Formats: sequence, C-alpha cells, structure tokens
Amino acid sequence: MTTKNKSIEWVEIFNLYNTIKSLYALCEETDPELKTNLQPLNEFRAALDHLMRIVGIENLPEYKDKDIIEEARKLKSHLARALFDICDMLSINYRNKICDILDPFDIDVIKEALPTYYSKIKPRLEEITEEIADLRTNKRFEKEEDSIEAHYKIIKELKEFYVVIKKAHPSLIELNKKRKKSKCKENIIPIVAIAVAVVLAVIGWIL
Amino acid sequence: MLKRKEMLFVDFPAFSKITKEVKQSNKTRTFTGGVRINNAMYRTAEEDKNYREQSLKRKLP
Repeated sequence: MTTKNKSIEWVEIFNLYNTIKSLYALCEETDPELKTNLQPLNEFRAALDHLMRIVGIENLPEYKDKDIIEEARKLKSHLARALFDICDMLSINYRNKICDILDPFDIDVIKEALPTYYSKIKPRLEEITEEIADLRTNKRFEKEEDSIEAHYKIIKELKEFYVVIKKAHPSLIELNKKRKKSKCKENIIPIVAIAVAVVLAVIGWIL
Repeated sequence: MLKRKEMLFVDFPAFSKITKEVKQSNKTRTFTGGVRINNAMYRTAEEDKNYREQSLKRKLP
C-alpha cells in the first residue's frame, strides 16, 4: 500500500518522527537510572492509529467519506505531543547532569574552569526552566510548528551547555586538587610555627 | 460488537496509571523489542512525579 495524498506533508511528518526518535533515545541515556519514559509511547500509539486511518481512507472505499487532512493533522499533533513530553524530561535530565558535575566544586573553582558559567550559562539555564514550563502550557505559540521548533532549540542549547560543562570536568577536578593542596599548606604553616614556638619554650625552660 | 469500519475511527483510551502493582505484573510478561520495559526500567506515576519535583527543586550550583 502507498499513500497517495499529495496535500499531506509527509516529509515534515517523517522529519518530526526522526527527531523524536533520536531525542527519545537521548532521553533514556541521560536519565540518571537509564529509565525510559512511557508517556511518549501513548502518543506513538495514537499517531499510528491516525496513520492507519489515512491508509484506510486512501485505499478502502468504505472510508472514502472520512477527512484525510484532519487525520494527518491529528497524526502530526500526537507526534508533536510525544516530542513535548520527551523534551520536558530531557530538560530535567540535562539539568540534573549539570548539577551532578558542578555540585562538588566551589564557586571559585567553577569560575576559573568555566569563566562563562555564572555570567552566561547559569542565567540561561534558569530561563530555560521557565521557558519549558511556558511551552507546556502553550502560552507562547499559536502554530504547532513554532512550538516544535522552540522545544527543539531549547534541547539543542541545553545539550551544548552540558557538553561544555562536561569538557571542563577534568579542569574542575585539577583546580580543586590544587586549591586543597594550597589550603593544606596554608593550614600547616601556623601549626608548624606554633609547634616550633612550644619546643623553643620548653628548651628555654629546661635550660 | 463494532464493525471494522467503526473500529478504526475509535480512539484508544489513555494509558492507565502506572502503579507498583502494574509494574510487578508487567515483569512477568515478555515485551519483544523493549529491553527497558522488559526489565521494568521505567518509573511509576508517583515515582515520575517525585523525580520531576525533586529535580526542579534542585538549585543550580
């Protein structure tokens, strides 16, 4: 069976599905327990149902009175909702991964290893949390395509931040070690000075 | 019983809430092509809600 209706934007639907598939896998891999998210499967099931209706309408005379464009719209809508569910979870996963990397380190260490973290990355991460919440309630866009694009851009941005922070991890560890060593030295000097003073005092008292 | 024509245009019901009992029951089944689902590597509805809440409460360093 082949779909014949040229007014359905199949390439757009195909591209959307491909995007969702790759982000779905990424969502599983970024989960702290590598768990999957079942909610998108519900949307996939509904999308498949609409796809089968389109096949039915195009190929079987008993369905010829049904609205094929409406079914295509609903198919795309379910895929879009799967994308939104995945992006929502993915944004949480990336946020957690960033926190996991940076939590063990002091502000000064982070500033040195990631000079743009406090000025650029962190404010943008806070904004993204708000933006995802806005997108979930559909406040910003009338067109679904714009919402899809907005979700995808956010995830791309989050991923870039995560990659930058991950690359800086070895520097964070090294800088942290150096700071601990120098702090250790700073603490030892007064202790040694006090010990020397006590020894000299004891020697003086004996003599 | 619905005929084929009518059945195609009936929407699926929503997934039921995933509880611990559902997860236990699923563990006894085999889902081909779903390694994570087969190994119960997913959250119940409550676990999912807690994961989101805890994650969003977390302050960025």
